[in-house]
Amino acid sequence: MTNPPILQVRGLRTLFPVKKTAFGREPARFVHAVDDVSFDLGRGEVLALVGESGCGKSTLALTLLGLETPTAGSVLFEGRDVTHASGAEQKALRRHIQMVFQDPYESLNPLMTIDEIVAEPLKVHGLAAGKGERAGRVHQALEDAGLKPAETYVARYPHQLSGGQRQRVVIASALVLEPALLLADEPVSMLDVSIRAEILSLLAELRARRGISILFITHDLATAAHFTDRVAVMYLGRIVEIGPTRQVLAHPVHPYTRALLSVIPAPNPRLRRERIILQGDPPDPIRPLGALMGCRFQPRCPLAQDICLHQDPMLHIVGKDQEAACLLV
Amino acid sequence: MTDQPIPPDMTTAPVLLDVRGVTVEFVSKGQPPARAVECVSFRLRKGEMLGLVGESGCGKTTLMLALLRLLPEAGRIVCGQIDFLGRDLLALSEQQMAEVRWTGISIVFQGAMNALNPVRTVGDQIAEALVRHGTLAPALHSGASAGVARNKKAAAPRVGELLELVGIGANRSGQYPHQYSGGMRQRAMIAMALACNPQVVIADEPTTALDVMIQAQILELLDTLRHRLGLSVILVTHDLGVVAEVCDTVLVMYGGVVAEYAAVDTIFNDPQHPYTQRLLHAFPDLSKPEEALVSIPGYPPRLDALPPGCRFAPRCPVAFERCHVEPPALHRLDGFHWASCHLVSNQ
Repeated sequence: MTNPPILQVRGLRTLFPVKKTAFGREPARFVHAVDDVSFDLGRGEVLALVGESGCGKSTLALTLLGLETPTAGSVLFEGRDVTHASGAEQKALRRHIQMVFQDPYESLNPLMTIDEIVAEPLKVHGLAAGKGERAGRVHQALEDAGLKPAETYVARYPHQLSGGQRQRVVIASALVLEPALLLADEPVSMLDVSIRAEILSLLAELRARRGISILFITHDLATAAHFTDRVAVMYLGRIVEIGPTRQVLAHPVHPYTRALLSVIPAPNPRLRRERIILQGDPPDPIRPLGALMGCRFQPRCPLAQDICLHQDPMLHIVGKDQEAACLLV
Repeated sequence: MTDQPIPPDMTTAPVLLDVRGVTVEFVSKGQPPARAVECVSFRLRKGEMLGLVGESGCGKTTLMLALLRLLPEAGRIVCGQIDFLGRDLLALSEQQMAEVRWTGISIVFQGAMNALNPVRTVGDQIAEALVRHGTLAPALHSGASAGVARNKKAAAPRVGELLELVGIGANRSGQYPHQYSGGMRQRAMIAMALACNPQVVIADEPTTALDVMIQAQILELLDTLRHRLGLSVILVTHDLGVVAEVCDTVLVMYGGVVAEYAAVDTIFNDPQHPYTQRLLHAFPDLSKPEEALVSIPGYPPRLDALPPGCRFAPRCPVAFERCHVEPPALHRLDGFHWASCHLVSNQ
């Protein structure tokens, strides 16, 4: 990364207060959804944000997009602090940061034609006022999203398209604003395996051709492995390991990353291997402010020592460009 | 799973379920019947874990519903035979069939973990299965006596036993579904399926909505249970990784027909059907991150517009003339390996 990063996230925290019970003597408690997250995303880089459900990865995306208000920390987009941007600034910002949601069956309005769906962001942002210009941009976005020729799609409704085509429409309506950063939240998890690869290649192609940066949010490390540059592993609101994807896969350092990698089924029975199955579920992210003393992974960690009970580990260098938050490495 | 499962002998273990040429059609007014499943045959032996794989809409779930005679009204089994322990299930009365469900073959439906009644305790819902079937199955390996569950109270010890069996703990029997995590709810569903000591358990996408760590827990549980109880399991999934991890045999379905059927090692290391081969290339493999994922162009066929020849022909990169006009038969390649492809028959 020689260019300045497009996105810099510093100590970001997004907490949600929990309603007090009727007996309310206990201290105020919060859902620690995003709990001190820092990372950079380079221009044209694809970063995978991996973690189990409830680890805070979607809240992080919503916070970056300004749809959730951070409790602390800052977000810099193209060097500008946008953490506490006003409504108008937020709107302008969203021209440059677009989101691709998970479920193409639910994120498209069934009563709108493909043309209307893809043109809507232009209307919202008051761009391309002329009919001809608008049609041109919609056409371009559809073709860029792989729906060629665009004329055969514009008059159709979402129900007339397959799941893969719908996800392309979702991507087209993000592309129509020509964003610099795409937040893709589980963009292929609802699709059949045989068509996932084509959506992933589409994203890879957008990066290569337009230099779009992508934050690829997924629970599926195996899918992330195939087209991301770096991977950040999140656990209970915090990034516990981050580094170049191949390197992290080959040499995972954090015990959580290791366990996660070990349970991803290999599509070959000859590679059945010993799995590190963590028992139980991740702990509840609801707790009083600052109540976490030790390492957040310690209750489930197979390697935990005494020190892990008392000290909250920070990310530190463990290899070339690779960082992990573990006291034992 | 440190101890490698011993694969049941594919030739000597007793056959529990023998499915031959099952064809299912859906009829709707004013339209020709749609063939959701065509001429599917397979055998399930004692202790075997069979993976039923295919994309959504390929007929996996329909086939399983047909086995249990639970097809929706519009669906009917137009031909074929389903033998379970020597009895022809298609010839049984509805009442006899109701007995086979739960006590012979039980099913964990897709998404069933979200179908638990939110205002009743989990234990109560498991007890209901026991009471409804009028029998308290004898305790597994514990020698407790069989009895009749006249009411749910009498079923309590067995409910506790079932919850322990799936790793929940009897003490949580009085809790409500919202007090359970997703993984625990799925365990509770498995406990329910085991309530009447079935020999065959069908698990329809049991891990699809779960995180990979919880998925590993559930797969480990299914594998432990089948070894401990001698269960046979049909694991319905679209996830090839899951199949490779725990199954002994694999049936790959495409567009309602069997594409390939073989032992798990054959499917993954010597696949013969172009669909199986392409599907494996489309599936991410962590051990080969440098290999590009290749999607299969096109989409699976719609049941109301099936191609006249091979159902995979429109998407098949090696299809030739014959593939587009004549559906291939299921050819036997060797001892335990079948594939429905004209190219295979030419070899």
